[in-house]
Amino acid sequence: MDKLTFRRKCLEDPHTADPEFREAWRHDSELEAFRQSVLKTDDQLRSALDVPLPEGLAARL
Amino acid sequence: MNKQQKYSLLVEAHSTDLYRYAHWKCRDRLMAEEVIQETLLRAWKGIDNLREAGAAKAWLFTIFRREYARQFERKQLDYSDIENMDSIASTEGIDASAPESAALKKALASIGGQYREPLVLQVLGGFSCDEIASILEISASAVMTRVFRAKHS
Repeated sequence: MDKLTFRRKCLEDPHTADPEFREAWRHDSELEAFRQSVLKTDDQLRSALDVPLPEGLAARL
Repeated sequence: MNKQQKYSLLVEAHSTDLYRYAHWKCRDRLMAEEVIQETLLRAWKGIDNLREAGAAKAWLFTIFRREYARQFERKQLDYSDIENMDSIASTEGIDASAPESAALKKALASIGGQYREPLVLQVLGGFSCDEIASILEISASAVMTRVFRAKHS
């Protein structure tokens, strides 16, 4: 898998089960560093998107 | 497992993620809760048709989107995507100690809804590209393109 394809796939889904993708980051530290940076951004996005749950929501549902 | 148990498990497992998604979709807490109530009512009525437990979350989110569209048509809300996203970005849920979160929220507000929604489903909902494609009723490749563009921007 070339680096450009890897980066695209990684931005689309860094958790993809594609074996070719996995092989690529396991054997290339630069690609692994890129994957880690995408995962970190996803974590930050998750925190940014998080909203506090209203009190008593479960009971109302 | 009877219907009540199946339903309780469904609500227990997915209502938190559904609320977070609803909040982003509706941009209003009360409306989010209202659409969720309707969604759960429909889920209760249709739960016997749910065969695969693994598909429950995507099924629930799909019901939500359809119910949202129905309510949206019914109420004919004044819809201004960017303006409303801006108001959320500036007023809700921003932790002052987390400037990165605020910046990301603002960035999210600036991208179009068609790019933001698959991103929210992936990052917040934890859905795969295929599941997002099924929920949004678009192709998996369209999902990948939109997620890619959303993250890239």
